[in-house]
Amino acid sequence: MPETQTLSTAMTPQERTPIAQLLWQGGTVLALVVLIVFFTIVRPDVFPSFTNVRNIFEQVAILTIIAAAQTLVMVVGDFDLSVGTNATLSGAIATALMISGTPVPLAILVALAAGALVGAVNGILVAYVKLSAFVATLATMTTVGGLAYIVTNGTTLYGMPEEFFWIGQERLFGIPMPVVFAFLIAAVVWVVLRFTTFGRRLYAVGGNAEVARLSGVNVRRARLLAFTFAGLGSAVGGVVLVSRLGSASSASANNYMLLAIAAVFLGMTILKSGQANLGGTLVGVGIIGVLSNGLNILGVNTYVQQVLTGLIIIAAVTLSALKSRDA
Amino acid sequence: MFKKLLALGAVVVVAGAGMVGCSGGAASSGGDKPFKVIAFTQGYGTPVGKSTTDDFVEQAKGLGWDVTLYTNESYDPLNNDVAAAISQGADAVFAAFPDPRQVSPIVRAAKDADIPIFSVDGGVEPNPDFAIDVTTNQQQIADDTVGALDKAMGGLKGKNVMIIGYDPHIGIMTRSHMAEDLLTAAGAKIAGGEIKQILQPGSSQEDSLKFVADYLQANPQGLDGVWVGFDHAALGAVQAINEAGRNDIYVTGVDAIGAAIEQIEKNGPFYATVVQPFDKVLGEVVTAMQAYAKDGTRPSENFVAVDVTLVDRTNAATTTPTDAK
Repeated sequence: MPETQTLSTAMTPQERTPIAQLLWQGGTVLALVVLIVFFTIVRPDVFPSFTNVRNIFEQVAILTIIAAAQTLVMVVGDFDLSVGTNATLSGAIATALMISGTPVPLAILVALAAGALVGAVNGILVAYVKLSAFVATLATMTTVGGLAYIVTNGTTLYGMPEEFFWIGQERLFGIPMPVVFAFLIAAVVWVVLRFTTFGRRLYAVGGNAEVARLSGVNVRRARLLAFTFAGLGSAVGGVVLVSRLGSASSASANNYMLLAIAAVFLGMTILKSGQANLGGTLVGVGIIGVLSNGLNILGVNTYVQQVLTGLIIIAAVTLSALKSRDA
Repeated sequence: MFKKLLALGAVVVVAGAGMVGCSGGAASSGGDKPFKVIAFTQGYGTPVGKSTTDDFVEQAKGLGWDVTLYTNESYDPLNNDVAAAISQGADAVFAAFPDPRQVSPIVRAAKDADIPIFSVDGGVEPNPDFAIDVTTNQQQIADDTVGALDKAMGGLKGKNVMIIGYDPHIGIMTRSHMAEDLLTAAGAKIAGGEIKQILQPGSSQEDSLKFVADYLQANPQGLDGVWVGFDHAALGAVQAINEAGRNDIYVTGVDAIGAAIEQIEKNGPFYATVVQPFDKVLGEVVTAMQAYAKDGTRPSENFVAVDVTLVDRTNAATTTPTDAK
């Protein structure tokens, strides 16, 4: 009679309980939910109201556009430090042209072209000259920031034609136009990444550039296009911002670079692979927006808000790094 | 071939000797060396900072001075560059909107070289590190703008007023805390319990927009006025109030930039701002520098606070914006 032996295997340290796995996988989304629940409990009369929710969406609209642009670049495994200054420059160019009499549509087109050109320069430096993305986009960030000062002459430009303000200040069925534009840009980026061959190529390059190249993907062109579209997206953000504010200053969108990178990193923690993804970016944007709005409603000091936002980003990046190692 | 090389070499030697001779001749025929000024500013990215600094360079060159301008957003490299330039030789230092708390290396270098520092808006009190510092009267700015809010709101007692400041700028920090003292003493309540701080000047308009929009969400009837330390941020507060559809909340700013004056003329939430006459401030500094350049005379007083002008609905139409060129 054959002997039956029972092998017992102890649970390996890598195996997690379902709850732990849920938290590990969905921690970022849960963080957003927890924040929403927390602020709703603390200020039930204010936080969840329709006008405040609309307020939050409006406040993160520009960040959504710029973060979507950043997502494209981070999908291919790079990142773009110039998205903020690019948005500033594009907004400044559009404003300067309009003030000098250029028709609004043409001024916007020129601004978008300038943004795409900056993105293309980044793409050429990274994909063809083979500079590191950090070095290349740091250089363009500095250069473009300087150009923004030149275009604005260091001052605040204002006096755009009234017909320009619908982009940033009107409402469509009660929804602020910046939110509409953010939704459109996010939808386009999502569709491209999820359903097009181009999007799959971008993910392939981001996953393993060498394997992608051997599979027939033109890696250099993919990276060039990713940076170019990111530049275009940043320019859209810049134009919407100056329309929203009714003015263009020499550094109005510079702050968005770090926030955009933070939002994308937060979003990367959602996927098992740790890759950049548009859905995750939107969750990241949501966390930043809800945190800022909620803490303002509670009257928390601005400096403390900075610390809390930074801590959340550290936690997200750490989680993403751990998940990448786990995979 | 050898003869050609020899001829070429001779031409080079002759040309070089000619250039040396010409330069030597120019120096010797030029007479006294020009008054050499090292100018610096960290505020070149702001409209007033840039225009004032550019005006100084233009005036200085018109006076025949040799001016070298250093600008940087960060004080660390700025201190290094300016200190190095001083050690290479200069007659005076011009500081535009320096933060006296962050220029110790420059002060030390100037002391070592025994040259004076002439400053525009370098603090809010006399500073022995400067031969002269000419600035605007921060107390008057606070008095006038709080007075304007008083008038707009129909009194200060019991009113909720948000104060938005930017402490890294010593002038804004001083006047915002002065405004806080004045408002509190008059019985007003500070909305949020403390001064709201802008994090970066570049995003100040958006930051203010968020502060006021979020505050109004939480306290729809809890805001009567907003005192803002500078116009760029004040524009954000005005926008939030307009978007909330309110016409009973008033805003004051400082600097009298064009966009602010335009808002005041609309008779909307933006009620008043202040002209800081930096052209007059600069004029006093340049006069002091001229006296020093002539015979080494140093200013008799090292701190001058120039009066400012309130701009409101009564005189906005006739006020020239400070950033107009």
